[in-house]
Amino acid sequence: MSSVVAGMSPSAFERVKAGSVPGVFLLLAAWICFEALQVPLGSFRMPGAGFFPLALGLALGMFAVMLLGMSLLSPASGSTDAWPERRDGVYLVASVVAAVWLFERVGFLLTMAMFLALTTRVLGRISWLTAVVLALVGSVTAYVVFSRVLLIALPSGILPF
Amino acid sequence: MGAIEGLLYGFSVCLTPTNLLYCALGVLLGTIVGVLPGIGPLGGITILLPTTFGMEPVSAIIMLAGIYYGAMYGGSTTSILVNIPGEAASVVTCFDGYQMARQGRAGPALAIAAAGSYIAGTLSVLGLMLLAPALAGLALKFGPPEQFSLMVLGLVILAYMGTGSVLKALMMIVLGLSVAMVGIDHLSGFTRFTHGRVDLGDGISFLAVAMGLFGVAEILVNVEKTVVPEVIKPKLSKLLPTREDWKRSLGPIIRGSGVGFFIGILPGAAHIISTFVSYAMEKRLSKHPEEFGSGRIEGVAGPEAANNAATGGAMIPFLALGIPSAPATATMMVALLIHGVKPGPVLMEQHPEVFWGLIASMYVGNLMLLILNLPLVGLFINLLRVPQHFLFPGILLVCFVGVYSVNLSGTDLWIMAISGVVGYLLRKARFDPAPIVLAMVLGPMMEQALRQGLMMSRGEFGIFLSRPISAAMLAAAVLFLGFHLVASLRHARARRGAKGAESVPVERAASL
Amino acid sequence: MNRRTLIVISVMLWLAAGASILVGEGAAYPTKPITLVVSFPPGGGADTVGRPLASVAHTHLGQPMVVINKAGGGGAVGAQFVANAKPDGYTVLHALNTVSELPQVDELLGRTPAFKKEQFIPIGQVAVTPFAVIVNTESRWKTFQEFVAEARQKPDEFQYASAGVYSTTHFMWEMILKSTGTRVRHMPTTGGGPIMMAVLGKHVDIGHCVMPAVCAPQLEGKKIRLLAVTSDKRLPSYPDVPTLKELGYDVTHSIWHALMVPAATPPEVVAKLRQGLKAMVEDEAFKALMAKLGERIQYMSGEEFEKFWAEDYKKVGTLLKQLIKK
Repeated sequence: MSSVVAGMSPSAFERVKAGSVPGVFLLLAAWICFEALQVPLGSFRMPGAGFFPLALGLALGMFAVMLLGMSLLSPASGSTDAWPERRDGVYLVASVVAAVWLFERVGFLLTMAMFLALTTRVLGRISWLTAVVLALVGSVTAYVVFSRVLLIALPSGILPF
Repeated sequence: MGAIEGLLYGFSVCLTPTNLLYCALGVLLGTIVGVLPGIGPLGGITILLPTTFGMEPVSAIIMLAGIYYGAMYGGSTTSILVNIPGEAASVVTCFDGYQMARQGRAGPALAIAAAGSYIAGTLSVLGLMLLAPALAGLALKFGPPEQFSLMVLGLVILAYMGTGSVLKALMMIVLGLSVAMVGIDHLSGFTRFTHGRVDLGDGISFLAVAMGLFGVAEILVNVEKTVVPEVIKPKLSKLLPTREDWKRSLGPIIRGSGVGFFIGILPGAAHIISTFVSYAMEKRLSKHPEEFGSGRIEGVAGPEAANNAATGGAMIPFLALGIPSAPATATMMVALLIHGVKPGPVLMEQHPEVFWGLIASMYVGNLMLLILNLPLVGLFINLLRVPQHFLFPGILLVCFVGVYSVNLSGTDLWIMAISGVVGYLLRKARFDPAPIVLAMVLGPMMEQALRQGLMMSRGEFGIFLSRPISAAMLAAAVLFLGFHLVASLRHARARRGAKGAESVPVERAASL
Repeated sequence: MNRRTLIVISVMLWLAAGASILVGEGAAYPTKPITLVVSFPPGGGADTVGRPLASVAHTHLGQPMVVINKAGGGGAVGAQFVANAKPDGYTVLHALNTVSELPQVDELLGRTPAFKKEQFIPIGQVAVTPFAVIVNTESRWKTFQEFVAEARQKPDEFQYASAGVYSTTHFMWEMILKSTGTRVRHMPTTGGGPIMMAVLGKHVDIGHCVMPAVCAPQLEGKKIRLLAVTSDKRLPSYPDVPTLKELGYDVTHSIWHALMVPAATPPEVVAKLRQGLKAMVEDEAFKALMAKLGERIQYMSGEEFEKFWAEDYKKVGTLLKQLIKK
């Protein structure tokens, strides 16, 4: 998104961009305070469950305001690094999210096989064949080591064992 | 009996072939278990507990203690090699250890970590031997106000420790403390921040967040580089530390041991504080503080020594008072009970062979750890040679298993995924997420200490200043803040002078 | 060989591996270690019954029992965890009276209950442990009456430690304070271990501990003094410590220790656990261990305990209503 599209002058746009990060924190701080007020605050003599969280929310808010102030005053260097050009990261995140979603539903073996195949393919320039073979071998080895030798209760999902 | 006699007696008990074998077994198992994230010493100890039934009490305890030590060491291996801390105590090791690995110096880093842990463990055992009864008294004096002030000091040090902006570090710390508030409040039973989700009742899993912030996020950051960075492959000839390395590490190791030991004694598992106190101390004392964070060996030696020494210190309340402060020591206590030994003030008199045998075994165990792990360094190094597109998926798989194994909860996996994305975004926004996990660990204790302190004083904040130990620590925190403010003001003035009347650079202003 | 062959061979290998793993399955419960959840920090009263019990499990159940501590909320965290765990018999709760109290407390306070009684099936009761009121040896109170006398004169001056707000020991103390007509400030902690540390370190003036397992080592080391016990009659191993009842205060409080599993656990698994528990309680090693700790084993089978618990739940409810409405 360029400043032209947003319809403001470049420097104003820079300021908004710079302010967005502290802005997010400010919202977060507000939410924390809100949640803290849902439980009893107690008193100074007998601090309750909301006491410390409220203090934290206020502290975060204060820091966010300070950060906001500083980035508005001197936004020259910009507050974030550039986004990457390649989409690999997105695919990776998608693979992780898919794996987490499937882990307990479909079971460890199948999920990890899928996951390994996808991620090795995304990260490296290897053929689907290699990826699939690797994934199968890797997931079975992992299953044997973790579930059988170390006795970790990995989910079986749709498989019968 | 006197300390020297006791120790000799302990050695005589410990150095039998059977006991040596058990010690080695324990240490080996512990290291394996420690390298795998999530499967901590507790799992190892409890699964092996039944097999110890036929053994002599001393042998059983020796093996279990070996596992404990081994697991603590194993955690630092993953920190150095792949920037994933096995447990909270290894987080600080990631800072410089991983950078050293990227420069092809993983071998020296691992070796110094092992050696540092050995020396620290030995020194802490010595301290334990000579000072246990006196120090137990110190541990008791540490009530809620003191615990709170210690955490304040620790967090202040943490905020200043990093290379980036202090304000941003403080925000990360507050964020970490807030994350720790999720779940059932330990003191009052009210549930916070969960919106009725029972799987969050016990709070957000530290391991899930750590794996996400360190493991997943790091991989995401790596992936975006269009040119695969030259991770200098470690040369076999450079496996061992150079003489220069040893020289530079000795001081940090000794200082780290001292810091770790004393902080380890204090109740409440604030042991991780010793790692950042040591790191900050070394940074302060070094002639090249700006290099910390990009691979200074002192940044590995000090914290590793500190965290091992803290383990020794932590044994004191357990051995001298019979009150275990952590599940691992509680399991050891049961092991002792099963064998008819009651830890407590009278342990030393009633069962000297157990007390001294345990102490001697710690010494022997530390030695075994060193002997065992030095050759393993070569093995671990080879892991780094695996190409990224195979290594990263493998690491992620281990993260999945590790995180899941703690609570068998799918929610933890979601937390890991979310932390990974959040960690990545934070890094893009030029925040360093490491303080989040450290603050998460300290959060519950800090809150409890604050509330209990206020209850003790009927709401007067003065209690934190009227009790000497607490006041001393708060004063130290203020002094620390003061030094840094003065230093950075001076720095800013110098830079302004050099650059003329130009506006103060954003970096400096942001660093407060 | 060409690619297709390679693919076919790998897939077949994988299926074969999978099948071989399948062959290994099919054994009856239990096939892996069982987790016993103790909802208090290590070193307290629950631990000292739970861990010895778990240590003999493997002989009678065939698999080891691993103890984990999930402390907080006066026992709520651990109980909630087990209530929502997979009902396959591999997660067992070491339950105390708190399980009767907490849901009713939640109701009275108008907050969403962390768990409900109906979420559990009892396996059986293991022991009953009373408390002792303790002070640091350096305290000036040599008898309970001295404490009461001074506390009456100086309301809100002193402080006691409990295992959490609305926990079972909080209620015990409130009953004591009501009965003695004193006002003493409250400091919640998370369990018996921290309470002992607070008493030893003099961060509070008075406290309690589970008799005798948690108290005994400190007593032997002459670090604490027992002022009274909360049982019905004097304890045989401590004949010179008076009960609160004989001192004129009608407060008796002991905690029962029972094992429970989530309600949806299959009946065969429950039966197996109940059988196992009966055997564990009669195990010589366990008996010896408990004798060493000075604890009385009081076994009640699952079926008997269900009846007992229903009544206990109602009794506790009435008591709580009185205390909380004040």
